[in-house]
Amino acid sequence: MIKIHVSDAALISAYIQGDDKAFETLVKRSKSKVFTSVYLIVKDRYVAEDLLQETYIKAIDVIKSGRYNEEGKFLPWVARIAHNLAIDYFRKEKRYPTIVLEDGSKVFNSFDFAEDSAEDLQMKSDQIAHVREMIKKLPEEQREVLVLRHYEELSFQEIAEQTGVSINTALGRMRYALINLRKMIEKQESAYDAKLYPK
Amino acid sequence: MTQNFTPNDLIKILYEPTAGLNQLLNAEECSELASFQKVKNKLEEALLEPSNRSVDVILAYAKSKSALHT
Repeated sequence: MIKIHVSDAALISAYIQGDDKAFETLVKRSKSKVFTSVYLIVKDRYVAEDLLQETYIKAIDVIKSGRYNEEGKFLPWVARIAHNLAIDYFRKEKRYPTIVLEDGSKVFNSFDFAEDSAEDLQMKSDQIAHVREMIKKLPEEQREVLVLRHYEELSFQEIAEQTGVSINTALGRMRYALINLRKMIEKQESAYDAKLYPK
Repeated sequence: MTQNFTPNDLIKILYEPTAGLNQLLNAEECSELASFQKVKNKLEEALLEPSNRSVDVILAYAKSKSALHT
């Protein structure tokens, strides 16, 4: 069977013309990455579900009102909406931590996460969830670049612009994030092997 | 011809590959890139799926908006 890949731009055009299935395809393509990225910020599955719905509803409103003028892919755009909503959520909850810059100005730090929820603790029993736990253990700056690059699919150039660092710094943070994760994964795998094959 | 890649270049190749660049990597760089690829795969496995209920709400809204515009 031959699979034809329809571009995001073509799917958006089709949805504007009234093809609901086209939007369904866009949701299917992007939902996991958007949801994971929001979850890694808010650390609460239920809040992440609400924010996901709000994100796509905003996206639909923008597309249907003819205000969508993104030239890039759908995922980074919709992920950016989700990211901003996650920041707004913390602002509303008044538990959003701030960072004071050298010049005294304050910026919101979206990657200093909330406390673990009961849901989280339950998920820790899941082996795949271990990787998410590892991501949460990364130093804040590394976690930020990792989520923006891997789950929100921003380019290193865009990450550099968004976070106010050089491309080389963004690349370096990503590299250290991957190195740290590699160490944690190796440690987990050797612990698992030791349990499975005791000497 | 040999080309020296910085450690950051490998990250750029991993996420934003340029055609043909992989062939210029030496054995050590290839091995490092492969181990990063393994971590990248793990990140992909760690994807979390939203509930069907959330997706249904989104799709119902998308449909209702289409109905309004037609």
